[in-house]
Amino acid sequence: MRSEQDVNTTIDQYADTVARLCMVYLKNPADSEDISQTVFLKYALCDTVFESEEHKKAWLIRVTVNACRDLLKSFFHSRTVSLDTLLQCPVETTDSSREVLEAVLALPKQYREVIYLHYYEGYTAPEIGRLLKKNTNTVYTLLRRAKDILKVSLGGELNG
Amino acid sequence: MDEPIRSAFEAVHASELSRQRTKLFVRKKTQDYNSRRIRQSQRRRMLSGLCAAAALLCLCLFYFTPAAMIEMDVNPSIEMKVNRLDRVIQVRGLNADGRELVQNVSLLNLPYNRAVRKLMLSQEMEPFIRSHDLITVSVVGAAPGHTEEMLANVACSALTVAGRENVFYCALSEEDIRQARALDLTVLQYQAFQLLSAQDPSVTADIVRAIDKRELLALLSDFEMDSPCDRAARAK
Repeated sequence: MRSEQDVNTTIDQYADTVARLCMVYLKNPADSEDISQTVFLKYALCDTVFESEEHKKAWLIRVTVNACRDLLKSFFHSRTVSLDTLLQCPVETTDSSREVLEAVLALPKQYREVIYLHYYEGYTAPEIGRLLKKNTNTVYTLLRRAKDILKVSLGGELNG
Repeated sequence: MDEPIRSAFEAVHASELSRQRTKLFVRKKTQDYNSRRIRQSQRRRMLSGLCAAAALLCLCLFYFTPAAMIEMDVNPSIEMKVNRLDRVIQVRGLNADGRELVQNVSLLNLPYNRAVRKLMLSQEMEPFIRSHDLITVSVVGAAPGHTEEMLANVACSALTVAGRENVFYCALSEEDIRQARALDLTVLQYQAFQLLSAQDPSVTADIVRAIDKRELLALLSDFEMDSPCDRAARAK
């Protein structure tokens, strides 16, 4: 089991990453805290030795994705909230960023996750494939289709 | 496309309150987990201690439970209790000479064969062997096959030292030995009493008790077909 100091440092460092992933998957800020608690408790109790900070981050992303998927499987219909409710949550953003976020969150789930991992976390398609247990070519396809949808929905905002 | 998406997600943060609540939650759960683990390890330690004690108790019960008894009667009368591993676990003198003998010859934990040989060859037994006193050896056990085998081994040891004409041996059931003690008869006397009373019901224990040992042996040898020692030798 890990020390309290290690756990607190990790929460400070990765709470945002977990919150963003929760938003991508659940679109529900209320569940975000539950998932966050589950993920960091697992981190506190696990004996995995991380080779690097990157390894630790990938492990946390993997655990968060699994926790979100489990939650979606069990509570999908009863707990899902509309996009309007989601965007009522405190997000300090400009209008254009808000529009982009809305467009990304409006994408089907498989597109949302690859878009977030690629554009925000900076993972390559093979890395995303390993994280999500998907074929690399499938990831490339998902990224291309997601970009196409975003280009249509956001018009000229994503040029470049 | 990278920059607008990055900026959009950059604005999403876990609130400070949420972080604090997560820290509190993890601290509480890990404390619960720790105390549960301590309780579990204490329970595990106690359980393994109990298991070890139970195993030791079973082992002791197994080792110290008598499975057969060897009784040797010369003048010193000795009773040896033997466990399932054929080890002597208890030695008792049945008369004053016997009690003195068991104090001087250590037989405990020896295989019964070695114990009998050691006893027969001991300095304390030498005068009795030399004076050609009659030696009665009896084996009492619940398992008839094993009792026969023990008798063959014990009788062979006794015959080697004392000679055929000086040894009487027989296998008895626990019921037989109880009856013999109830009638206050030695094993030899009881065997003779059984044979004689079968022929003539008017024969009593007192009558048999009055007959000399050698005469009883002669009487019994008329009925005895062959010895267990001979039977064991033939089986080999």
